[in-house]
Amino acid sequence: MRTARCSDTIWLPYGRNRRFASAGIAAALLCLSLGGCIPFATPHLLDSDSRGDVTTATQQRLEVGKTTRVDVLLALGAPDGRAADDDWFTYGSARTSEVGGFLFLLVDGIGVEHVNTHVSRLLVKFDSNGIVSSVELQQSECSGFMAAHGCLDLKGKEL
Amino acid sequence: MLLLQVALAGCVTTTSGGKPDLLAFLEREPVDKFEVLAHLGEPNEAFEVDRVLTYRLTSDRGSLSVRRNDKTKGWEGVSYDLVLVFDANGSLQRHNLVAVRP
Repeated sequence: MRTARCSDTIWLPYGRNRRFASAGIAAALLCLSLGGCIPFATPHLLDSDSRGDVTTATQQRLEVGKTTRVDVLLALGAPDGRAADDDWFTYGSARTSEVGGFLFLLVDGIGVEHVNTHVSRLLVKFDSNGIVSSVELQQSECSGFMAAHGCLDLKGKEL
Repeated sequence: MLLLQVALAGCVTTTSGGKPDLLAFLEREPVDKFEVLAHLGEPNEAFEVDRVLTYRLTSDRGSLSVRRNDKTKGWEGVSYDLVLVFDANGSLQRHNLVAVRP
């Protein structure tokens, strides 16, 4: 789920990149062939389950062999994911863009969209003394029709 | 119906009932864990055998309120993550207000 404002919407053909524009043009052509339709495209918006962008700057705030688990909590807040024994924390962020169209029907309409999501996840591991033993910034791109699939899990469920 | 859908797109629900001085008690040392629980209620999360407590706070026109656990909402609407660190006797040692979605 994402929070978007009307002011975040940009109208085709202004895309962020080539693939973005191509998908927008395809959506526009589909709309034209079907009649009443409003094509739309949104920039990469921060997902609602993300507290903020996780970047290399976030990674650099933690020092292997020195930063403690409490220091990490004080600096970054509660993690998005944690091991049962707090052996590791994850902090994640996701930004999603959408390209599609809203098709008018007789009394209502339906939206069709292609979703592209960029996920960043910081995996922080601790040793038995609660000191940071490794910090890894993991990133992935995922996409799909109506919803992105195969995204890196912010909570680290697969860990 | 379509016009209504368009008009409602992008709306965000806000909450009221916060206090501008919600965290003022943290500056009156010493502060113990019971005082924190009395002021803020149950924490959103606890770490290090309850030595570290965290609270998700929402800010609305300068007033802060604690947002209770709701796993469906993620960080949406949260302004700060308050981190409180206590010593072995339950006295507050350190705290930090981490900005969310700055």
